[in-house]
Amino acid sequence: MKRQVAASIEQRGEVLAWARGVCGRAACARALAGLGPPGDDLIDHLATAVGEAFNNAVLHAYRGRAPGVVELVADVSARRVEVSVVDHGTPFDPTRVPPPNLEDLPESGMGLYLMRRLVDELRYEAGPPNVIVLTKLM
Amino acid sequence: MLPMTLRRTVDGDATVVTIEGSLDAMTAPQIRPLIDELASDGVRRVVIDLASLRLVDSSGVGVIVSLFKRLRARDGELRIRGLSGQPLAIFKLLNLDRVFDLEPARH
Repeated sequence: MKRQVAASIEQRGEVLAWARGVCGRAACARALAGLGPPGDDLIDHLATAVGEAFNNAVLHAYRGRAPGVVELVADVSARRVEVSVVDHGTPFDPTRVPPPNLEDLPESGMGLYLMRRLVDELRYEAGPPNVIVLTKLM
Repeated sequence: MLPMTLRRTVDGDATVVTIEGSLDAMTAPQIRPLIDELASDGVRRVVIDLASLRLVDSSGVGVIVSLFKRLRARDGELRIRGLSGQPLAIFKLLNLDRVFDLEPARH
């Protein structure tokens, strides 16, 4: 499943709707494989993580640059959903982003931390294009 | 796109802020003027009613934390009402269920 949206925060709703569609595809894949439905948290966790990745692309990768696009790509099987969020903006190094100190009650900088908590595997490939790959196991 | 609606009401000596829909990177900026208004009005007891909040992201959490810290600086109080579903899950991931006073939704 692929979708391309403008790198504008107004497109968040489209991104989340697409992510929910990916979860529906995952449920079908499991049914066809004779497996039970995915866990109740799949939609919430995956859609939220994809939303955070999209936010980062819009608000950070394209900051100070000409408007671009974000590409969404999903690879779905009966036991795994992998979503790639692709941007053509400024790359970053997620290994240099310290986890937030939750005791300090941060007001920002929690997106990457949430993504890591919501999916089973997070991978980043600096480009261009830059690709963040979110994998949820079912 | 899930919109956000915002309402400010009074319940006794507390100001109730009801947020419905989605509180996220797109809608969170709409909360900032209200936070400033509460500060300038000298409000010290605030209840945020989230019973009809369906989605939150890190930006949405950030504005709520911002309000909490501004109230705390004035010896004020913030309670969160009706947190459930995805928003509750996100608050728990950020350990905020241990920080905020949570109360059930009113019916």
